[in-house]
Amino acid sequence: MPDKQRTVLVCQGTGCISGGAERLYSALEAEMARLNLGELAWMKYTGCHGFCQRGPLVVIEPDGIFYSKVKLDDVPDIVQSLLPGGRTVERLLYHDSVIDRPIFHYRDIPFYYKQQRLVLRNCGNINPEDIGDYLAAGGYQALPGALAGMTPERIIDEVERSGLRGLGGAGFPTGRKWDACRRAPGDEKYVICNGDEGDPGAFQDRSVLEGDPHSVLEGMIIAGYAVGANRGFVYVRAEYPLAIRRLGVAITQARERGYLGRNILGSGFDFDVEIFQGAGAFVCGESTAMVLSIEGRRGMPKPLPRPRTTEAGLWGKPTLLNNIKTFANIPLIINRGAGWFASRGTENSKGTAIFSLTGKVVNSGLIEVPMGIRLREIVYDIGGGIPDGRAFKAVQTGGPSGGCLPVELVNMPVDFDSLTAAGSMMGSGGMVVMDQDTCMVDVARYFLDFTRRESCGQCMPCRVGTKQMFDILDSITKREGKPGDIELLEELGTAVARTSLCGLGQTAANPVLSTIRYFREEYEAHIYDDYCPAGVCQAYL
Amino acid sequence: MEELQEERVRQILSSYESEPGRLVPILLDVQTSIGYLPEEGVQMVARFLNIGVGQIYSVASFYSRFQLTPVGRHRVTVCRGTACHIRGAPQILGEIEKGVGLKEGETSSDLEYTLETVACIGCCALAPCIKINADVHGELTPRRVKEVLLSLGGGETDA
Amino acid sequence: MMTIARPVCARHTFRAGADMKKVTLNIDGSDVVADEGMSVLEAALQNNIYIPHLCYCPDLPPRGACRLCIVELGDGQLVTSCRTPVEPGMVVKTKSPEVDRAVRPVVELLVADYHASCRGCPSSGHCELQRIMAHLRIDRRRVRRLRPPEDEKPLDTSNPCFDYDPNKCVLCGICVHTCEEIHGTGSLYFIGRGYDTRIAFFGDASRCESCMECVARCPVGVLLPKAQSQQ
Repeated sequence: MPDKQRTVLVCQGTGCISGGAERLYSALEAEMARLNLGELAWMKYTGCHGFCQRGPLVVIEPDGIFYSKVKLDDVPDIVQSLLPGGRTVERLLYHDSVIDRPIFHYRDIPFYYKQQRLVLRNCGNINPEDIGDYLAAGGYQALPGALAGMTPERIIDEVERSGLRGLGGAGFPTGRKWDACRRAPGDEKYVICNGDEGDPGAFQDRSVLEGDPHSVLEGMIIAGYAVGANRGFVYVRAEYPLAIRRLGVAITQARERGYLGRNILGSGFDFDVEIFQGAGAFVCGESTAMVLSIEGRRGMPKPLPRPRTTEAGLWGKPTLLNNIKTFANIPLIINRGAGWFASRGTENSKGTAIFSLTGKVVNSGLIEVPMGIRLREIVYDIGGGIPDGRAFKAVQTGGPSGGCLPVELVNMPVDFDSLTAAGSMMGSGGMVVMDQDTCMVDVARYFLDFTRRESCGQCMPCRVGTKQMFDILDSITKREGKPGDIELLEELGTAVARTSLCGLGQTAANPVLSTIRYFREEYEAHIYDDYCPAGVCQAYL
Repeated sequence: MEELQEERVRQILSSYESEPGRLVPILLDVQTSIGYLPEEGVQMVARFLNIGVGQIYSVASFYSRFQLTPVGRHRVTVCRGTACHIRGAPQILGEIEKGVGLKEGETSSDLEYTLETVACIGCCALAPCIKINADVHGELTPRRVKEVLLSLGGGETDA
Repeated sequence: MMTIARPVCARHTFRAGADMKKVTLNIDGSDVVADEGMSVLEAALQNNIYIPHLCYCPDLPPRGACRLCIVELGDGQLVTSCRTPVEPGMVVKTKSPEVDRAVRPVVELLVADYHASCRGCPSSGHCELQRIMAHLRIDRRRVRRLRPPEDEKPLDTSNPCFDYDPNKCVLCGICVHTCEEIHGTGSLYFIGRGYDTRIAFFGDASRCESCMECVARCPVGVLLPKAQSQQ
């Protein structure tokens, strides 16, 4: 293929597609053909670039020119800009509200330059449906290196020393989990990649699968080799059809090139992968429930004491279960080494964190930041602050299992342990910004509505407790709160947290307890003063 | 169940091995193909996998995606995600309820519309979002919702 | 204090203890002797120490679903006693401030959920939940703080031999597992998810052989022989 001067990258993530990115791609292609641009530029479609709010996005490389909110009418001008003497289309450039000047290169946009895109390294830069792109970007180098030059124990040691912790929510040390699975007796083992991403407000796993599916596959194959498994499943929720399709294409191409299948790269190691679609149950993000659903049963988690999934998981065999983002980190760790990885982040939280930054924030999208970054930097520097001059009130992290961080905590470092200490958790990376027009009682009600619908129903505290907590919160928002309700919520929340059988129930009360902890006065205003300070609850207006 | 639907189920079953672990993928395929899980279809799957019909319903009723009753031609799914909620999803749901004359979970008697909600579509940066069949519509306002419904050919039902 | 006749499950028949290894543990300040391999719950019940439970049945594997059998161990850990094997020298507290803070609200939640009054219930006097309420001395004033459930579902009269009251069902699962594991028919199922879960035959009614084992074992008597439920 002759060297072209420029590449036109058009984001084809689910978000941009809903804004017309597919039609945009076709129009650009047609216009470029019409003007015979052949030698000057060629097109590529990519996965999610992360700045979803500004989509549809078009990036011109190698200049890094970033066009946002592109419409079909803009096509002629963009194509003109590619011709000799053509000028950048200034009206499509990102305008920073503070500097009040258009920014040409996306690397200069605060949303991007404060990030460290490692897991998201290829998202927005490569065509996810072309394995050649992944290879050209340095992909499938870790795998041959691992198979030919490292023993399973050596690989696990590298992962352990990197300090990588699971990015699905609980933050369990990844190397330790791999080691446990490796040591478990048995010839038949499985690797499961958790792409269930049930947290409302989180879309990182979707974006990684849509934008860079091979990074996940490469991580899984290395994991299989390390623990001694020959079969893997990628569990993806059925609500992500594009991710499923792209992953399917990637698997086919990986097989064609010999990265999946028998005797991979002549190593004697067999490994293959299939996609399992989740059928709509948040609780199946829990490891024993996920295993049960793959086995064709109701996803009701198993109580303690029980064997670890690494010892007896799918069909009773040792099973390694990790999140999409965790696997996507593995090729980097193998290529660059544990020391390189561990040089980022904090003492106990190495590497980066990936957040879906959404809600009342100017720049909404997918971001990747070093662990330990201050919350303030995320909300203001990257997020651009609160729109319409409203006041920042809180950030919710960890989805329905997490809690709210109020403005007093805006300087806190963001990592696994700091979030837990503040009454929230990392969870799977949803970060929702809230302003003065958000009612925290309504937020708690919202999360309990989610949790009670998703409760599997097996254990009594969660089944009846989440319903009751929801009913109480619902009645408070409807002007039917009673004196004593706040104390009652604290009592019930604590009991449900202590007695529930699985993580869903054990963390269900976090949104309630944390909003009561930091915003008790809002609850009291509803119950004792008969008004909703944020002006949200309809019954009070 | 019509003959065409029966044939589709037979085709789906022929592409699978008769193993209990295949239950959820089989049901998802039937659901995608026919739009819901008809009773006769479930019976066919039960015979194929050699398990009780009740066991299939026990599993199917656990997972939100499975519909046990027919769905409308336009399946309107409103996202209940956190970002969507903060940005006004309840108002959007209200507008749609008025527009199609249905409450969440209902299907119109002429099988034109089904209205449902889902925990999260995954398009949080474009909140609030809805899906109509496979198409995602984001950054909605009550007025845009009316436009979208009208473009489907008749926003109001005769209910 | 009223005597409450216990349903079948509560008439415990433990494994013959003569040649099993014995274990001594301390429950609520007293040393008790149990067989190796027993659960803490079984050891307590055998020694006439009551621990609340709903989903436990001696001839089914313990499922740890109701969470009411929670006890406090010496190190402060809260565990379900039905799934915790006895260990020599173990220290167990069945009634401590921590246990009470954890379990009492759960029982109150159950009582508030269609069990606010026992008046007129055909199973009154034969109900494990009543026994638990008496044991914990549940205060109905505390229960009344909770929001009552909304609508009542109708009685399920579809089975030829017994009726099922979905409102008072605590979803312990004993009937489902009895049918599947003891009787072997497997025609009773959980249907739905979460709070709306119910028990049903759902298409397999023809497999039911009317052995009435499920009826005999229901700890709260929501499966009633036809004659009885129509009183």
